[in-house]
Amino acid sequence: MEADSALLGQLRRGVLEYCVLALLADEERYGYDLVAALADAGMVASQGSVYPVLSRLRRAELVDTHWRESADGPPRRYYSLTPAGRRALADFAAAWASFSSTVTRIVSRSQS
Amino acid sequence: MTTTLPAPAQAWLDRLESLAGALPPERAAELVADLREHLAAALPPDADAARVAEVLDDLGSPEAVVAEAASDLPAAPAPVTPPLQRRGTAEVVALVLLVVWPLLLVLLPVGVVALVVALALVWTSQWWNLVDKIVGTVVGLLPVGLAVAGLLAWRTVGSEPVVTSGTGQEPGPLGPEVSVGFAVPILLAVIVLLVIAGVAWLAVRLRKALSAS
Repeated sequence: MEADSALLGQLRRGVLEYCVLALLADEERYGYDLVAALADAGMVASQGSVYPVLSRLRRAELVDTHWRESADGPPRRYYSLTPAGRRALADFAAAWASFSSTVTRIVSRSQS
Repeated sequence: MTTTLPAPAQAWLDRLESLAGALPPERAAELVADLREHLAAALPPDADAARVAEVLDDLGSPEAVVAEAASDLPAAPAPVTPPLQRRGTAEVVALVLLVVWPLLLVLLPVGVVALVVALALVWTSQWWNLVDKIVGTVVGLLPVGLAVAGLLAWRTVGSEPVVTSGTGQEPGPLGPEVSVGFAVPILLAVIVLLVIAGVAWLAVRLRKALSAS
């Protein structure tokens, strides 16, 4: 239903930045790779709009970028977490765990 | 980066670049560079049309991408208005001058300068629309109309043969001097009323425009 996808779209947009941070927790990645991972998880409707999110994270100094030469093409921009980004991710993980379990509890009561 | 992209992809990127003109320049340049890199990574030189279409479809529209990039900017980029005009101060000054400039004609140059300044402020206003500006111009020039009318009437009186009482023939109760005498105050009153009405209109319009902003 269209209403569902609008709702889901809003939810996704709210957490997208944190999903990006989470994907960078273990290793640095370049833009196209990040976008592909998010798309595979079904987290983005328009892949192009991930790039402004990445810029926002960079401006907020939660991620860092540097260019790296690539063997088969032009240099690529790699994204990595800053310490502040790591802290923000940890804060979000805790908030999300508590928030989602609360919402699940309330909503599942209404559905049973 | 000299990788050439397939034509539809380049067209998509060109459209993005053009829309990104609405963003701050650094942000726009970064966005276009990022998307160019994405397209170069997603599309090998031998990509077929179906693959190109799929990649562009997955990217979404350039409009959506620029909208996302603009989403944390101030809502409506305000046009840069000079400080005096931001709060309508220039307009208030214009209204005052429109009313008093005839009085300043005692010193002719001062009065004329006041009118010119008033009209300049009216026409450069950020708050008044075209109709308002025309009203303002008419209000400013009304006293000029009165002066011209007064001059014409004066000259008419001057050129009429004045019948003196010496010959026993007196001018009728509604002689030329009397009709002129009626006309000028009436005209003056009408013009004063029109000026007041025009200034009131402009003041109301200014207030509306300021409160709607």
